Amino acid sequence: MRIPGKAVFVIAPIAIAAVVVWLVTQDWDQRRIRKNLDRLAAAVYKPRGAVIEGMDLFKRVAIIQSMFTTDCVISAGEPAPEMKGTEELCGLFAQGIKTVKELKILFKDVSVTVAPDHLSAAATMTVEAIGEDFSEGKRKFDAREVEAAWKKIEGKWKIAEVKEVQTLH
Amino acid sequence: MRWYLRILVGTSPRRTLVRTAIVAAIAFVLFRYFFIPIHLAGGSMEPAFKDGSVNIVNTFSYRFRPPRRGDVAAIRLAGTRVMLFKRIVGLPGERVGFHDGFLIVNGQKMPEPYVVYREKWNMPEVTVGSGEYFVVGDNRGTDISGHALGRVDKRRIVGGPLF
Repeated sequence: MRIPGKAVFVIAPIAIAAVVVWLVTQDWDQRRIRKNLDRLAAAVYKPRGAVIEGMDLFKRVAIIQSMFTTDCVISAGEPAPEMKGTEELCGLFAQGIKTVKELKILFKDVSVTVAPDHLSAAATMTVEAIGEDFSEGKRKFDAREVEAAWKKIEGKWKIAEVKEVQTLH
Repeated sequence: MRWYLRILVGTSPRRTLVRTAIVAAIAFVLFRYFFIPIHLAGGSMEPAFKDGSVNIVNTFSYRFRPPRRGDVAAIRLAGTRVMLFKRIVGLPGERVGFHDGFLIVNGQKMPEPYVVYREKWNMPEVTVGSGEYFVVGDNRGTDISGHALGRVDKRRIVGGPLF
C-alpha cells in the first residue's frame, strides 16, 4: 500500500496527539499500584522444588518489606493468621516459604480507586494461591476476594491494610 | 494465486480479512461476557464436576428465571476471572443446616442425589436472607471446616454451567 506524501503530514500529528492524550489521561498512581502487585507476586513465587535461602531469601524479604507500611495489618482470612507489622509479616514469609514445595500467588480482577488527594487508594482483587506443602504432598488451590488499603509514603505506594471480603457467610 | 494461499485467504484477501475481524470481535464479546470459559480447580464439586475439567459459564442461566434448589451456580469474587462453583441448596427465606451429613431445610431432610462422598457434617440452621442463596459443594467427603459454604448475595451469581 502506498501512502501519498501529503497524508503523512495529516496522519503523523494525529498519531502524536493520540499518544499525548493517552499519556496525559493515564492514571500513573494506578499503574504503579498494579506494578507493585506484580512485584509482590514475583517476590512470593516459588517454583516447584526450588530452594529459596541465603541472598535470594534476603532479597525477597526486602522487596516484601518495602511494599507494606511498618504498621500494616493483614487479615486475609482462614487459614492465614492475622499479621501486624512488616516484621511479623516478613518473619512468617521467611519461615513459611521453607515449608512449601511450590507457591504461586496471582492477583486477578484488580480494581484500583485512587483518592482525589493521590495519597491513599483502595483496591479490590481476587487473590489466587496455588501451592503444595511438604507435609501433605498435595497441590492446593485457594481463591478469595480481598480489599487492600494503600498509602503513599515518600512517593511510594505501600499496603497499609488487607482484609478479606466475605463472599460466602 | 497458489492453492494453499487460496485456501488460507480465499479469492479475495480483503474480504477474508474483514470476515476474520468480524468473527474475532463476535467471539471476543461472546466468550468475554456471555459464555465465559472456565477451568475448574479443586474437587469441591466432585463427582459432578471433576478437578481440572473445563466448562463454560452461561450468563443467561438465571437472567430469565431465579435459581432453583439443585442448580449449580458460578459465583464471582472480585470479578469473573476467578469464580466459585457451588450447588444452590437454600432459597431466600429458608432455614438451612446440616445434621449428620444430611442437608436440612426448614427442618426437613432433603434428598441430594448428586452427593456421593459424605462426612458427618453438623451445622446449626441459618436463615437465608432475601436476595440471598445458600450454596455448598457436592463433595462432602472433607471436614466441614475446610469447605467453603454459606449464604451468597444473589448479585454475585454470574450464571450456571453450560454442560
